[in-house]
Amino acid sequence: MYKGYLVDQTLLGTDPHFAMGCEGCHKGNLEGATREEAHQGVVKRPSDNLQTCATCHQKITSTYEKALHYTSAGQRHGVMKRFSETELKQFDEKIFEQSCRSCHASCGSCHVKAAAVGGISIGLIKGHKFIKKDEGKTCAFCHGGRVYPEYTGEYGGKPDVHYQKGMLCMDCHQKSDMHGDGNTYLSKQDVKDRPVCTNCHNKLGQEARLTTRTAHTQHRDKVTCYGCHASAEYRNCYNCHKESESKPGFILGLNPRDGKTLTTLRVIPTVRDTFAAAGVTMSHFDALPNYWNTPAHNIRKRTDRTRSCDACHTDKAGFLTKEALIENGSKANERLIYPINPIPITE
Amino acid sequence: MLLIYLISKICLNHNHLKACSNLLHTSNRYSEGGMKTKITVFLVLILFLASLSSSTVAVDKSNCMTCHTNDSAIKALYKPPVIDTHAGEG
Repeated sequence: MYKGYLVDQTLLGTDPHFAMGCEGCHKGNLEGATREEAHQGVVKRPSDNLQTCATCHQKITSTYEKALHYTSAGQRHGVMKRFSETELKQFDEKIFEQSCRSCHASCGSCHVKAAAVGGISIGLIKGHKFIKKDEGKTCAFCHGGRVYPEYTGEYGGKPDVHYQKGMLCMDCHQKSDMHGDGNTYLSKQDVKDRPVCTNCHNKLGQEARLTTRTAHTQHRDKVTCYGCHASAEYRNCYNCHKESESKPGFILGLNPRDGKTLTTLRVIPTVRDTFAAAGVTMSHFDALPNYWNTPAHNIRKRTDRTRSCDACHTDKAGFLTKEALIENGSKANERLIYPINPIPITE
Repeated sequence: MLLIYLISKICLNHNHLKACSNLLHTSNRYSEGGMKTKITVFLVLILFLASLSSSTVAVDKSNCMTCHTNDSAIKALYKPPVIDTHAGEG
């Protein structure tokens, strides 16, 4: 981990960022003779103050200060309906700023030194090189509990076909998804230009194969792409944090955002007493479910559900059931159970 | 070296290159052919020195780099963080 502080000397003469000297961004005391003296007033993560980068990158920083990766507003928005007005104030003061926002991404978190998650950082991404992207280190460090290893197949399961074709995060997620577009959003659901499968797969229902054409036409607007093409199990938080169930799961249920589309669901880490240690209760805990719709990142062309209609229409394999709901969960969870059994096949 | 650095910085700047070029034109109007050759040689020399020195001028010679580019020094100074095992991350 010490290499997180080791600068690649060859960069010094080639990268214009170094022309200002270390103190240009990190401040500190250049005259200091000892380590302690030299580090007086040092700024560990200069880009936490966006104005540091704004000196040269004014346009990007002006949009980034409103971007969800910087504001972490999505996390707050995702839980706020569980609080009363008073509780929300307590949450903002005691939890949101100190905890949720503590790992918000500044410019350097993606381009120089990975963010500290729970106080731990993987350090400099490439010897203090200012890199444009390195998804395996930057995206994966924060999104590596579930999405990234699910995409690469690193922790078991089948890798996503897009990964096998050589695609990485930024091949679907645009730069504006990271840097923001200048608008303030409460949640990623509000972002109109976020990636969707049909950006590339835009000829659904026009396929040459009859079965494919029929399947896409019949299920359009009823089942999401992930519902059929998520290859198999994907990771949920309790897969690691609950020993008795330490294996990936696969959950199909109604999308809690519209209440009617069948899609893949993922358990979210907020339970009834999540904030109890900080003295914050959730009076309206049952207002939201413990499952959200999830774009599973282990897509395959052929899956159990694309091979056989029976997988869903008869067996209802992977469908959320009352028995499978998490213990002591929200009352809203039951609304996500697909009620019809067996599901009729329409012509 | 400092002088070379300053001159090269000035001439590498786009606007100043223009100024250098103007200088060349001015000298053509008011002096003999030999002067033109001398200035051209001078500019070529400056640019050559600038290209040689460009990698060194950006190098930070501060105390920071003494340690932060030295693998063994950083390794010796590094103190691993204390991990709070009670903190659960979502």
